[in-house]
Amino acid sequence: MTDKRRPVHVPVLVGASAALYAASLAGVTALQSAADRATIEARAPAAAAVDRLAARNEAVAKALDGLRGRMDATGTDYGAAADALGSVEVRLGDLATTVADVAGQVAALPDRIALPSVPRAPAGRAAPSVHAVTGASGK
Amino acid sequence: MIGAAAEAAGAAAVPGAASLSFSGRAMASPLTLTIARRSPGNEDDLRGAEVAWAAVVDEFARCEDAMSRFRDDSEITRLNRLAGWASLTVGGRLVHALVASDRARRLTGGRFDPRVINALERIGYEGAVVPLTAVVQTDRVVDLDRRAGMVRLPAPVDLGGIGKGLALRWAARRVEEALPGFGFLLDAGGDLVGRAPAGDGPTWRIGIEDPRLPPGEEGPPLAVAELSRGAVATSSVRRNRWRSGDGRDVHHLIDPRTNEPAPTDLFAVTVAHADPAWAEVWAKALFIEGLATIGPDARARGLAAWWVEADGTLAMTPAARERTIWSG
Repeated sequence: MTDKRRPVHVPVLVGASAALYAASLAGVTALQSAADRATIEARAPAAAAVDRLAARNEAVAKALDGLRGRMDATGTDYGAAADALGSVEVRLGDLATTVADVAGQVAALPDRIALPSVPRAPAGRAAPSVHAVTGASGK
Repeated sequence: MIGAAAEAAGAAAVPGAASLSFSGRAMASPLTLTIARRSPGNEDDLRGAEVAWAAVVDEFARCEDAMSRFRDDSEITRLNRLAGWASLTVGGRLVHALVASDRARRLTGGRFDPRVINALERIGYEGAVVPLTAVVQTDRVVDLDRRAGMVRLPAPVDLGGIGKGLALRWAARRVEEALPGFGFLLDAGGDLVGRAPAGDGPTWRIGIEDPRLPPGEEGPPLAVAELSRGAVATSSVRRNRWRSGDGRDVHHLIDPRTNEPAPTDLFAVTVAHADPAWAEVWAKALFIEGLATIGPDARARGLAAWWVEADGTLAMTPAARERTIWSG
Protein backbone atom coordinates (compact mmCIF):
# COMPACT_ATOMS: atom_id res chain seq x y z
CA MET A 1 0.00 0.00 0.00
CA THR A 2 0.96 3.34 -0.90
CA ASP A 3 1.10 5.98 1.85
CA LYS A 4 0.23 9.32 0.46
CA ARG A 5 2.24 11.93 2.40
CA ARG A 6 1.26 15.54 2.73
CA PRO A 7 3.93 18.25 2.33
CA VAL A 8 4.66 19.98 5.66
CA HIS A 9 6.64 22.89 4.40
CA VAL A 10 3.59 24.77 3.26
CA PRO A 11 1.94 25.23 6.61
CA VAL A 12 5.31 25.84 8.12
CA LEU A 13 5.97 28.58 5.65
CA VAL A 14 2.51 29.99 6.16
CA GLY A 15 3.01 29.89 9.87
CA ALA A 16 6.43 31.38 9.69
CA SER A 17 5.19 34.05 7.39
CA ALA A 18 2.33 34.83 9.68
CA ALA A 19 4.63 34.92 12.63
CA LEU A 20 6.98 37.21 10.84
CA TYR A 21 4.11 39.41 9.86
CA ALA A 22 2.84 39.50 13.39
CA ALA A 23 6.24 40.30 14.75
CA SER A 24 6.65 43.05 12.19
CA LEU A 25 3.24 44.39 12.97
CA ALA A 26 4.01 44.34 16.65
CA GLY A 27 7.29 46.14 16.04
CA VAL A 28 5.68 48.71 13.83
CA THR A 29 2.92 49.21 16.36
CA ALA A 30 5.42 49.63 19.14
CA LEU A 31 7.38 52.12 17.11
CA GLN A 32 4.22 53.93 16.18
CA SER A 33 3.12 54.03 19.79
CA ALA A 34 6.44 55.38 20.97
CA ALA A 35 6.38 58.01 18.27
CA ASP A 36 2.82 58.99 19.18
CA ARG A 37 3.74 59.18 22.86
CA ALA A 38 6.69 61.42 22.08
CA THR A 39 4.57 63.60 19.89
CA ILE A 40 1.91 63.89 22.56
CA GLU A 41 4.50 64.75 25.17
CA ALA A 42 6.04 67.37 22.88
CA ARG A 43 2.69 68.92 22.13
CA ALA A 44 1.40 68.96 25.75
CA PRO A 45 2.71 72.51 26.69
CA ALA A 46 1.26 73.97 23.51
CA ALA A 47 -2.06 72.27 24.19
CA ALA A 48 -2.11 73.68 27.71
CA ALA A 49 -1.36 77.16 26.37
CA VAL A 50 -4.14 76.77 23.86
CA ASP A 51 -6.50 75.74 26.66
CA ARG A 52 -5.52 78.81 28.69
CA LEU A 53 -5.98 81.08 25.71
CA ALA A 54 -9.36 79.55 25.10
CA ALA A 55 -10.37 80.18 28.69
CA ARG A 56 -9.20 83.80 28.54
CA ASN A 57 -10.93 84.30 25.26
CA GLU A 58 -14.10 83.03 26.81
CA ALA A 59 -13.71 85.48 29.73
CA VAL A 60 -13.07 88.36 27.34
CA ALA A 61 -16.12 87.38 25.38
CA LYS A 62 -18.21 87.41 28.53
CA ALA A 63 -16.84 90.83 29.54
CA LEU A 64 -17.61 92.14 26.09
CA ASP A 65 -21.15 90.86 26.44
CA GLY A 66 -21.46 92.72 29.76
CA LEU A 67 -20.05 95.93 28.28
CA ARG A 68 -22.39 95.65 25.37
CA GLY A 69 -25.30 95.42 27.79
CA ARG A 70 -24.15 98.48 29.69
CA MET A 71 -23.58 100.38 26.49
CA ASP A 72 -27.12 99.55 25.44
CA ALA A 73 -28.44 100.83 28.78
CA THR A 74 -26.33 104.00 28.51
CA GLY A 75 -27.59 104.54 25.01
CA THR A 76 -31.15 104.27 26.30
CA ASP A 77 -30.46 106.76 29.08
CA TYR A 78 -28.78 109.17 26.66
CA GLY A 79 -31.78 108.95 24.43
CA ALA A 80 -34.09 109.83 27.34
CA ALA A 81 -31.83 112.74 28.35
CA ALA A 82 -31.74 113.98 24.80
CA ASP A 83 -35.52 113.92 24.73
CA ALA A 84 -35.68 115.89 28.00
CA LEU A 85 -33.14 118.40 26.68
CA GLY A 86 -35.18 118.79 23.58
CA SER A 87 -38.22 119.55 25.74
CA VAL A 88 -36.22 122.09 27.77
CA GLU A 89 -34.99 123.71 24.60
CA VAL A 90 -38.52 124.04 23.39
CA ARG A 91 -39.59 125.65 26.65
CA LEU A 92 -36.57 127.96 26.59
CA GLY A 93 -37.59 128.98 23.12
CA ASP A 94 -41.10 129.74 24.37
CA LEU A 95 -39.63 131.73 27.28
CA ALA A 96 -37.37 133.68 24.96
CA THR A 97 -40.38 134.53 22.87
CA THR A 98 -42.29 135.68 25.95
CA VAL A 99 -39.33 137.77 27.15
CA ALA A 100 -39.02 139.35 23.75
CA ASP A 101 -42.73 140.17 23.80
CA VAL A 102 -42.46 141.73 27.27
CA ALA A 103 -39.34 143.66 26.28
CA GLY A 104 -41.14 144.95 23.25
CA GLN A 105 -44.13 146.01 25.31
CA VAL A 106 -41.90 147.67 27.90
CA ALA A 107 -40.08 149.55 25.19
CA ALA A 108 -43.40 150.71 23.88
CA LEU A 109 -44.40 152.19 27.26
CA PRO A 110 -44.10 155.94 27.57
CA ASP A 111 -41.26 157.32 29.72
CA ARG A 112 -43.60 159.62 31.56
CA ILE A 113 -47.31 159.55 32.23
CA ALA A 114 -49.11 162.76 32.73
CA LEU A 115 -51.45 162.25 35.65
CA PRO A 116 -54.32 164.59 36.29
CA SER A 117 -53.64 167.00 39.08
CA VAL A 118 -55.28 166.00 42.32
CA PRO A 119 -56.03 168.55 45.00
CA ARG A 120 -54.09 167.62 48.10
CA ALA A 121 -56.82 168.84 50.38
CA PRO A 122 -60.34 170.00 49.83
CA ALA A 123 -60.42 173.71 49.27
CA GLY A 124 -60.90 175.62 52.45
CA ARG A 125 -60.33 172.63 54.68
CA ALA A 126 -58.16 173.58 57.63
CA ALA A 127 -55.41 171.41 59.00
CA PRO A 128 -56.69 168.92 61.56
CA SER A 129 -55.53 169.33 65.12
CA VAL A 130 -52.34 167.49 65.90
CA HIS A 131 -50.75 165.89 68.95
CA ALA A 132 -47.23 167.05 68.17
CA VAL A 133 -45.23 168.79 65.49
CA THR A 134 -42.00 167.54 63.97
CA GLY A 135 -39.54 170.16 62.86
CA ALA A 136 -36.25 171.81 63.52
CA SER A 137 -34.65 170.85 66.81
CA GLY A 138 -33.44 173.22 69.47
CA LYS A 139 -36.53 175.21 70.32
CA MET B 1 -34.63 168.96 84.08
CA ILE B 2 -37.93 169.05 85.92
CA GLY B 3 -41.05 167.39 84.66
CA ALA B 4 -44.54 168.64 85.27
CA ALA B 5 -47.53 166.39 84.97
CA ALA B 6 -50.79 167.73 83.66
CA GLU B 7 -54.01 166.44 82.26
CA ALA B 8 -53.78 167.29 78.61
CA ALA B 9 -56.45 169.53 77.18
CA GLY B 10 -54.83 170.21 73.84
CA ALA B 11 -56.50 170.89 70.56
CA ALA B 12 -56.24 167.29 69.43
CA ALA B 13 -58.18 164.44 70.92
CA VAL B 14 -55.58 162.14 72.39
CA PRO B 15 -55.91 158.46 71.59
CA GLY B 16 -57.46 156.73 74.55
CA ALA B 17 -59.85 158.03 77.16
CA ALA B 18 -57.72 161.02 78.16
CA SER B 19 -54.11 161.87 78.49
CA LEU B 20 -51.41 162.69 80.95
CA SER B 21 -48.63 164.99 79.89
CA PHE B 22 -45.21 165.58 81.40
CA SER B 23 -42.74 168.15 80.18
CA GLY B 24 -39.18 169.23 80.83
CA ARG B 25 -35.99 169.91 78.91
CA ALA B 26 -33.19 167.63 77.75
CA MET B 27 -30.44 167.77 75.15
CA ALA B 28 -31.10 171.49 74.60
CA SER B 29 -34.69 170.75 73.56
CA PRO B 30 -38.11 170.61 75.18
CA LEU B 31 -39.03 167.10 76.22
CA THR B 32 -42.66 166.03 76.45
CA LEU B 33 -44.22 162.70 77.28
CA THR B 34 -47.91 162.27 76.55
CA ILE B 35 -49.62 159.12 77.78
CA ALA B 36 -53.03 157.97 76.68
CA ARG B 37 -54.89 156.86 79.78
CA ARG B 38 -57.02 153.80 79.62
CA SER B 39 -59.65 155.20 81.96
CA PRO B 40 -59.89 158.74 83.38
CA GLY B 41 -59.19 159.00 87.07
CA ASN B 42 -57.44 155.65 87.31
CA GLU B 43 -54.79 156.15 89.99
CA ASP B 44 -52.77 153.16 88.79
CA ASP B 45 -52.45 154.86 85.42
CA LEU B 46 -51.17 158.01 87.12
CA ARG B 47 -48.60 156.15 89.20
CA GLY B 48 -47.42 154.20 86.16
CA ALA B 49 -47.17 157.39 84.15
CA GLU B 50 -45.03 159.01 86.82
CA VAL B 51 -42.72 156.01 86.82
CA ALA B 52 -42.51 156.19 83.03
CA TRP B 53 -41.70 159.92 83.07
CA ALA B 54 -39.02 159.38 85.71
CA ALA B 55 -37.51 156.70 83.47
CA VAL B 56 -37.54 159.09 80.49
CA VAL B 57 -35.84 161.83 82.50
CA ASP B 58 -33.26 159.36 83.78
CA GLU B 59 -32.58 157.97 80.32
CA PHE B 60 -32.05 161.38 78.75
CA ALA B 61 -29.79 162.41 81.63
CA ARG B 62 -27.67 159.30 81.15
CA CYS B 63 -27.54 159.85 77.39
CA GLU B 64 -26.47 163.45 77.90
CA ASP B 65 -23.75 162.32 80.30
CA ALA B 66 -22.52 159.92 77.64
CA MET B 67 -23.04 161.76 74.36
CA SER B 68 -23.26 165.54 74.74
CA ARG B 69 -20.37 167.31 73.08
CA PHE B 70 -21.51 170.55 74.71
CA ARG B 71 -20.70 169.29 78.18
CA ASP B 72 -17.17 169.48 79.44
CA ASP B 73 -17.52 166.37 81.59
CA SER B 74 -19.36 164.05 79.23
CA GLU B 75 -17.83 160.77 78.14
CA ILE B 76 -17.75 161.84 74.50
CA THR B 77 -15.92 165.06 75.32
CA ARG B 78 -13.25 163.13 77.23
CA LEU B 79 -12.99 160.64 74.39
CA ASN B 80 -12.88 163.37 71.73
CA ARG B 81 -9.95 164.96 73.54
CA LEU B 82 -8.04 161.69 73.20
CA ALA B 83 -9.00 161.20 69.55
CA GLY B 84 -6.22 159.96 67.36
CA TRP B 85 -3.83 158.90 70.06
CA ALA B 86 -5.33 157.20 73.14
CA SER B 87 -8.06 154.82 74.24
CA LEU B 88 -10.57 155.10 77.03
CA THR B 89 -13.03 152.85 78.81
CA VAL B 90 -16.56 154.22 78.30
CA GLY B 91 -20.09 153.10 79.08
CA GLY B 92 -22.36 150.93 76.99
CA ARG B 93 -24.52 153.78 75.72
CA LEU B 94 -21.60 155.57 74.14
CA VAL B 95 -20.16 152.39 72.69
CA HIS B 96 -23.56 151.60 71.20
CA ALA B 97 -23.86 155.11 69.77
CA LEU B 98 -20.42 154.99 68.19
CA VAL B 99 -21.03 151.59 66.62
CA ALA B 100 -24.43 152.74 65.35
CA SER B 101 -22.81 155.85 63.87
CA ASP B 102 -20.23 153.75 62.10
CA ARG B 103 -22.98 151.58 60.63
CA ALA B 104 -25.00 154.63 59.63
CA ARG B 105 -21.97 156.07 57.83
CA ARG B 106 -21.62 152.87 55.83
CA LEU B 107 -25.32 152.50 55.02
CA THR B 108 -25.70 156.10 53.90
CA GLY B 109 -22.61 156.01 51.71
CA GLY B 110 -20.90 158.59 53.90
CA ARG B 111 -23.69 161.16 53.80
CA PHE B 112 -24.10 160.61 57.51
CA ASP B 113 -20.80 160.83 59.37
CA PRO B 114 -20.35 162.09 62.92
CA ARG B 115 -16.74 163.17 62.26
CA VAL B 116 -17.75 166.69 61.30
CA ILE B 117 -16.91 168.33 64.59
CA ASN B 118 -13.97 170.24 63.11
CA ALA B 119 -16.23 171.71 60.43
CA LEU B 120 -18.85 172.64 63.02
CA GLU B 121 -16.27 174.33 65.22
CA ARG B 122 -14.80 176.15 62.21
CA ILE B 123 -18.14 177.74 61.31
CA GLY B 124 -18.87 178.66 64.90
CA TYR B 125 -21.10 175.85 66.21
CA GLU B 126 -18.92 175.32 69.23
CA GLY B 127 -19.16 172.75 71.98
CA ALA B 128 -16.75 171.78 74.72
CA VAL B 129 -13.16 172.52 73.79
CA VAL B 130 -11.66 169.74 71.73
CA PRO B 131 -8.30 170.02 69.99
CA LEU B 132 -8.61 170.18 66.22
CA THR B 133 -7.25 167.08 64.52
CA ALA B 134 -5.59 166.36 61.22
CA VAL B 135 -7.48 164.92 58.27
CA VAL B 136 -9.05 161.56 59.10
CA GLN B 137 -6.99 158.73 57.68
CA THR B 138 -9.43 155.86 58.24
CA ASP B 139 -12.97 154.99 57.24
CA ARG B 140 -13.82 153.78 60.71
CA VAL B 141 -15.67 156.03 63.12
CA VAL B 142 -14.45 154.04 66.12
CA ASP B 143 -11.81 151.48 67.01
CA LEU B 144 -13.05 149.00 69.60
CA ASP B 145 -10.90 146.73 71.71
CA ARG B 146 -13.69 144.60 73.12
CA ARG B 147 -11.32 142.32 75.02
CA ALA B 148 -9.83 145.22 76.93
CA GLY B 149 -13.12 147.16 76.96
CA MET B 150 -11.39 150.18 75.44
CA VAL B 151 -12.55 152.63 72.78
CA ARG B 152 -10.45 154.86 70.57
CA LEU B 153 -11.62 157.48 68.12
CA PRO B 154 -9.58 158.14 64.98
CA ALA B 155 -11.18 161.60 64.93
CA PRO B 156 -13.52 163.50 67.28
CA VAL B 157 -17.24 163.02 66.68
CA ASP B 158 -20.51 164.87 67.16
CA LEU B 159 -23.33 162.49 68.12
CA GLY B 160 -26.01 165.18 68.23
CA GLY B 161 -28.73 163.82 65.97
CA ILE B 162 -28.19 160.11 66.34
CA GLY B 163 -27.59 160.61 70.05
CA LYS B 164 -31.02 162.13 70.50
CA GLY B 165 -32.52 159.35 68.39
CA LEU B 166 -30.91 156.71 70.56
CA ALA B 167 -32.08 158.49 73.70
CA LEU B 168 -35.61 158.39 72.31
CA ARG B 169 -35.24 154.71 71.45
CA TRP B 170 -34.07 153.74 74.92
CA ALA B 171 -36.50 156.04 76.71
CA ALA B 172 -39.43 154.67 74.70
CA ARG B 173 -38.38 151.17 75.64
CA ARG B 174 -38.46 152.12 79.31
CA VAL B 175 -41.88 153.73 78.91
CA GLU B 176 -43.18 150.51 77.38
CA GLU B 177 -41.75 148.56 80.29
CA ALA B 178 -43.39 150.89 82.81
CA LEU B 179 -46.72 151.09 80.97
CA PRO B 180 -47.21 147.96 78.91
CA GLY B 181 -50.02 148.31 76.41
CA PHE B 182 -50.44 152.06 76.89
CA GLY B 183 -50.31 154.53 74.05
CA PHE B 184 -47.68 157.21 74.44
CA LEU B 185 -45.92 159.93 72.49
CA LEU B 186 -42.46 161.16 73.44
CA ASP B 187 -41.40 164.43 71.84
CA ALA B 188 -37.82 165.67 72.08
CA GLY B 189 -37.84 169.03 70.34
CA GLY B 190 -39.68 167.84 67.26
CA ASP B 191 -38.17 164.38 67.07
CA LEU B 192 -40.82 161.91 68.12
CA VAL B 193 -41.38 158.32 69.04
CA GLY B 194 -44.72 156.87 69.99
CA ARG B 195 -47.16 154.05 70.04
CA ALA B 196 -50.88 154.20 69.65
CA PRO B 197 -52.97 152.44 72.28
CA ALA B 198 -53.55 148.74 71.67
CA GLY B 199 -56.48 147.90 69.43
CA ASP B 200 -57.94 149.67 66.43
CA GLY B 201 -58.28 153.03 68.12
CA PRO B 202 -57.10 156.36 66.81
CA THR B 203 -53.44 157.03 66.13
CA TRP B 204 -51.23 159.99 66.94
CA ARG B 205 -51.44 162.87 64.49
CA ILE B 206 -48.13 164.53 63.76
CA GLY B 207 -47.87 167.91 62.07
CA ILE B 208 -44.97 168.59 59.74
CA GLU B 209 -43.66 172.05 60.51
CA ASP B 210 -43.49 174.72 57.86
CA PRO B 211 -39.74 175.41 57.79
CA ARG B 212 -40.21 178.76 56.05
CA LEU B 213 -41.65 180.30 59.20
CA PRO B 214 -39.15 182.42 61.12
CA PRO B 215 -37.79 180.78 64.27
CA GLY B 216 -40.14 181.30 67.17
CA GLU B 217 -43.18 181.86 65.00
CA GLU B 218 -45.93 179.27 65.08
CA GLY B 219 -48.07 178.46 62.08
CA PRO B 220 -50.20 175.74 60.56
CA PRO B 221 -48.35 172.58 59.54
CA LEU B 222 -47.60 171.81 55.92
CA ALA B 223 -49.01 168.32 56.34
CA VAL B 224 -50.36 165.99 58.97
CA ALA B 225 -49.33 162.35 59.19
CA GLU B 226 -50.51 159.45 61.30
CA LEU B 227 -48.16 157.63 63.64
CA SER B 228 -49.36 154.34 65.08
CA ARG B 229 -46.01 152.94 66.13
CA GLY B 230 -42.53 154.21 65.38
CA ALA B 231 -40.69 157.47 65.09
CA VAL B 232 -40.57 160.69 63.14
CA ALA B 233 -37.56 162.97 62.84
CA THR B 234 -36.83 166.12 60.89
CA SER B 235 -33.62 167.69 59.66
CA SER B 236 -34.20 171.36 59.00
CA VAL B 237 -32.30 174.60 58.63
CA ARG B 238 -35.14 176.65 60.06
CA ARG B 239 -33.12 177.01 63.25
CA ASN B 240 -29.40 176.76 63.81
CA ARG B 241 -28.57 179.18 60.99
CA TRP B 242 -26.10 181.98 61.51
CA ARG B 243 -23.42 184.04 59.82
CA SER B 244 -19.98 182.54 60.17
CA GLY B 245 -16.80 184.43 60.97
CA ASP B 246 -15.97 184.76 57.29
CA GLY B 247 -19.38 186.31 56.54
CA ARG B 248 -21.13 183.27 55.04
CA ASP B 249 -24.67 182.18 55.86
CA VAL B 250 -24.17 178.75 57.36
CA HIS B 251 -26.13 176.06 59.17
CA HIS B 252 -25.41 173.02 61.29
CA LEU B 253 -26.08 170.27 58.71
CA ILE B 254 -22.58 169.48 57.47
CA ASP B 255 -21.98 167.42 54.33
CA PRO B 256 -19.21 165.04 55.46
CA ARG B 257 -17.99 164.70 51.88
CA THR B 258 -17.12 168.39 51.65
CA ASN B 259 -16.90 169.33 55.33
CA GLU B 260 -19.09 172.33 54.55
CA PRO B 261 -22.74 173.09 55.30
CA ALA B 262 -24.86 171.14 52.82
CA PRO B 263 -26.19 173.22 49.93
CA THR B 264 -29.62 174.46 50.97
CA ASP B 265 -31.80 173.52 48.02
CA LEU B 266 -34.05 171.91 50.65
CA PHE B 267 -35.60 173.55 53.68
CA ALA B 268 -36.33 170.41 55.64
CA VAL B 269 -36.59 166.64 55.40
CA THR B 270 -38.86 164.55 57.63
CA VAL B 271 -38.60 160.76 57.85
CA ALA B 272 -40.89 158.29 59.56
CA HIS B 273 -39.13 155.09 60.58
CA ALA B 274 -39.65 152.25 62.99
CA ASP B 275 -36.67 153.44 65.00
CA PRO B 276 -35.99 157.04 66.11
CA ALA B 277 -32.22 156.81 65.65
CA TRP B 278 -32.60 155.67 62.07
CA ALA B 279 -35.27 158.29 61.43
CA GLU B 280 -32.65 160.86 62.47
CA VAL B 281 -29.95 159.28 60.32
CA TRP B 282 -32.08 159.13 57.19
CA ALA B 283 -33.53 162.59 57.64
CA LYS B 284 -30.04 164.03 57.79
CA ALA B 285 -28.65 161.83 54.99
CA LEU B 286 -31.55 162.71 52.66
CA PHE B 287 -31.18 166.40 53.45
CA ILE B 288 -27.52 166.22 52.51
CA GLU B 289 -28.43 164.24 49.40
CA GLY B 290 -30.16 167.34 48.10
CA LEU B 291 -33.11 168.00 45.86
CA ALA B 292 -31.68 166.38 42.72
CA THR B 293 -31.74 162.79 44.02
CA ILE B 294 -33.70 162.77 47.26
CA GLY B 295 -36.87 161.45 45.61
CA PRO B 296 -35.39 158.45 43.78
CA ASP B 297 -33.13 157.58 46.68
CA ALA B 298 -35.87 157.74 49.31
CA ARG B 299 -38.27 155.78 47.11
CA ALA B 300 -35.64 153.15 46.32
CA ARG B 301 -35.07 152.63 50.03
CA GLY B 302 -38.78 152.45 50.76
CA LEU B 303 -38.56 155.34 53.20
CA ALA B 304 -41.53 157.40 54.29
CA ALA B 305 -40.03 160.84 53.67
CA TRP B 306 -41.43 164.34 53.26
CA TRP B 307 -39.27 167.22 52.06
CA VAL B 308 -39.79 170.91 51.58
CA GLU B 309 -38.09 172.42 48.57
CA ALA B 310 -36.59 175.89 48.40
CA ASP B 311 -39.77 177.29 46.85
CA GLY B 312 -41.88 175.85 49.67
CA THR B 313 -43.21 172.89 47.72
CA LEU B 314 -43.91 169.86 49.87
CA ALA B 315 -43.05 166.53 48.23
CA MET B 316 -43.25 163.04 49.63
CA THR B 317 -42.58 159.42 48.83
CA PRO B 318 -45.38 156.88 48.25
CA ALA B 319 -44.76 155.44 51.72
CA ALA B 320 -45.16 158.91 53.20
CA ARG B 321 -48.32 159.53 51.18
CA GLU B 322 -49.88 156.44 52.79
CA ARG B 323 -49.38 158.01 56.21
CA THR B 324 -50.42 161.53 55.25
CA ILE B 325 -53.96 162.39 56.25
CA TRP B 326 -53.83 166.06 55.28
CA SER B 327 -51.59 168.42 53.33
CA GLY B 328 -52.16 172.06 52.68
